[in-house]
Amino acid sequence: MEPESEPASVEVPAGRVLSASELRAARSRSQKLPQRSHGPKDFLPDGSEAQAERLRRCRQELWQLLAEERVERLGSLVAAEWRPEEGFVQLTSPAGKFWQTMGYSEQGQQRLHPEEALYLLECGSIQLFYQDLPLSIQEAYQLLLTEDTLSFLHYQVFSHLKRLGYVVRRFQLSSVLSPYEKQLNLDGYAQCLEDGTGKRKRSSSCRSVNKKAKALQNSLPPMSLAASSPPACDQNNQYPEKPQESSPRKGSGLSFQIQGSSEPCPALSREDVGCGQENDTIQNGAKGAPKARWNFEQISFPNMASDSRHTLLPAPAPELLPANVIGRGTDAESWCQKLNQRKEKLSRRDRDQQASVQQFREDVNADPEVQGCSSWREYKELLQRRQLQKSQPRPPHLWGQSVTPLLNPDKADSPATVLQHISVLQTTHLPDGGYGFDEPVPDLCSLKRLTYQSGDVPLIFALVDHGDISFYSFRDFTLPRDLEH
Amino acid sequence: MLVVEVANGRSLVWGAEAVQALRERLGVGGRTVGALPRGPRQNSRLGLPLLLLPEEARLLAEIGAVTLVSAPRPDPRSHGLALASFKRQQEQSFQEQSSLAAEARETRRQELLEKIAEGQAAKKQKLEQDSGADEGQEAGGSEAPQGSTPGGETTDDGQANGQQEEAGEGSSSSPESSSPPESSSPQPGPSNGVTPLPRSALLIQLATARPRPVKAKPLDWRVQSKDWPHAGRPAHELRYSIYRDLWERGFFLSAAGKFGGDFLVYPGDPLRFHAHYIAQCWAADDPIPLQDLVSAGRLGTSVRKTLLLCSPQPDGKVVYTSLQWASLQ
Repeated sequence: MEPESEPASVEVPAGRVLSASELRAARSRSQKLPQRSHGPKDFLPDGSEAQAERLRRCRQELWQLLAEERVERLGSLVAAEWRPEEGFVQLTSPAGKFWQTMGYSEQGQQRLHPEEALYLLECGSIQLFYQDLPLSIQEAYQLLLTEDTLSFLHYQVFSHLKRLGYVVRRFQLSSVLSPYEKQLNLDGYAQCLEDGTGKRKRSSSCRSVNKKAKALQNSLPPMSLAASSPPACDQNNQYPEKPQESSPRKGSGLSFQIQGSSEPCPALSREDVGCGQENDTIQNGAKGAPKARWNFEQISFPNMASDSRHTLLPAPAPELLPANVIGRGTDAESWCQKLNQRKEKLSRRDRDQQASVQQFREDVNADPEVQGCSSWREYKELLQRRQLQKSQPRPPHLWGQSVTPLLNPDKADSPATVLQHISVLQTTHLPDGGYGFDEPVPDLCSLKRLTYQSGDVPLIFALVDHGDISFYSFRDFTLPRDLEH
Repeated sequence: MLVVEVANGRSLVWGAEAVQALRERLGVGGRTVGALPRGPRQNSRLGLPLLLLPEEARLLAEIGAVTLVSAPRPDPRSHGLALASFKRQQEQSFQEQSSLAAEARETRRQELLEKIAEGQAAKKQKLEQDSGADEGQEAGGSEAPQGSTPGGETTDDGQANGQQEEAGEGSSSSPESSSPPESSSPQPGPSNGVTPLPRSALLIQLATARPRPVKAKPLDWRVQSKDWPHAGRPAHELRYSIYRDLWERGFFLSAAGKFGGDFLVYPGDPLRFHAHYIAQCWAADDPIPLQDLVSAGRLGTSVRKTLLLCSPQPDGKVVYTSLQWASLQ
């Protein structure tokens, strides 16, 4: 029994090959799945005949189920070829029904990701060839699931989610809309995809599941926005606008930002139309496919929007600064990573509280005295007058000049509003590699960072323990805060 | 001798007979992680491959029930041979299926002939009773069975319903046929042998395991390698000693990640018994933080299993301590 050191000496027996008559007999086998354990389980083995009989029956069914082989008609199989050097699977015959939710088109070819191809192979929808030889499931597992492209763990979670009925796609930065794009109304098309199997009812809310480690991401819920008010370009906006409202969520993971108070948001009607119907505007599987998108994080526009996302703040021109203040450029990116960029979900009570407090805070433009000022100088005098009246003095060198801090200390009532005034850049680094059970669980710091960076898409961690998959997510909880700060 | 292929520390079993032998004879269960051919779009019952815990694989190799091998890479030299044999096998299968289909057609026609003959005899009797008022109708009706049976045959290949449909058709149309039996018994049409099976109706097996034998390198579980990174790791050794001890006492063990432990301990096959213990492995001189004890104890109580703290002693024996959450009133 000692293993020899000579190579390749053990013969691995072949799997079962069905004969023609067995193939024909397989057409008429039952499709029902028997119960796992017939009846309630027993507590202790007592050696009785009844127990042994039940066990024998359960086991018999299990062996029968496992021994069945996949038999399909050649006409219903789609032929596909594995390209290892390019890392995808190319379809050599036209795709079937699965094309609605899987695969992508490129250079006139229909292609599948390796995990999708493997899943379809296990379902019996495609026949996977490699160098003209059809692959068995075992060989496909070996060839397609390598550590550097797509590991076994990734595939387990992918197939688990697919079998549950989700539509699972690879995570692509370009498919996550940045708030800037939302403001520009670039998200105008409905992108709802129906759930996977035909048995599933079409729910009106599409789920989005964000996986760690750049592997896979579910399709995003619809993001229609019909609000037409353009973002306010108010460069001299010193005082904050009314805190931006977010439309109530309807089970989708995204919220809308609506500028100003001028127009009500007519976006709600489109949202429920987008979900729940068959999407016929989708081009051939090219939904999440890499399309030419500008990476707005790398293009630095001048600050035209009220919540600009510059972090590279250059030094201001010296002539604009007061004499005793020296300006310098800063790069706030590192600091931005530490910020919590998720929209705070306020409970109903919190919202009411905020609304009631809100009435004590006025919009500066609603002030008739401010409206009465016809020039900047008059406004400054008004401010000075008010300053003297107020008990809390403000440092004049900060507030009396033309350049003032962006943020008023007593105007910031929540992190959300703070973010809207300060440049916040969403970085999109994701930690490399999935985590197996043996590896230490990532520390709280990186977990929180990931959660922040995913924006409004809920982040779910899949823990795979020797074939057993469980999903965990962290819920944010806001402690009640004292308003009189 | 059973062979189990190991790749990157993961041991997969791809044969149903092997899975059966392991479970029934040796009490090693593993976990199915693939799609079940009968129902590939559900998660309640999964199919091959069977994933073995590293401890399970090592135990099987230690007792000599299984040979561990490194998963063999496809060999380019044997590719040409494999391709040729695959094509031959496919062609052969096609021929066999065609002839089987033809035979099945023939037997069906024979059955139908009998049925038709019976039906015609019955109708003839009926006719003689009601003196032929509807002869015109019957003459028209006689075309129907002759037209439908050849049409039904060519389209039913490869479809399971075809057989039932045809039988249904035959039986439903036979009472109507009332033309003189002499003209209907020699059936015209493609009764002479082989309408070839259309290529698209060829039945293919999508093999689960590799359909041809291959040579592989044996794996030594005592030595650390890329395919077996567990050798020598203290965590693995600890878990293995506990696993082996519990297995020798006759328990069935499986992974317990969901329960915050190392193993779930069953008194018998998990198909029919619930787990009794959640086993947590601790090294002999490891201090156990009190919070871990409390959380493990609470968890065990809430899922109605006893927490078992297992610790191997220097002399080789394993000491077990069970915890039960008791409230002091």
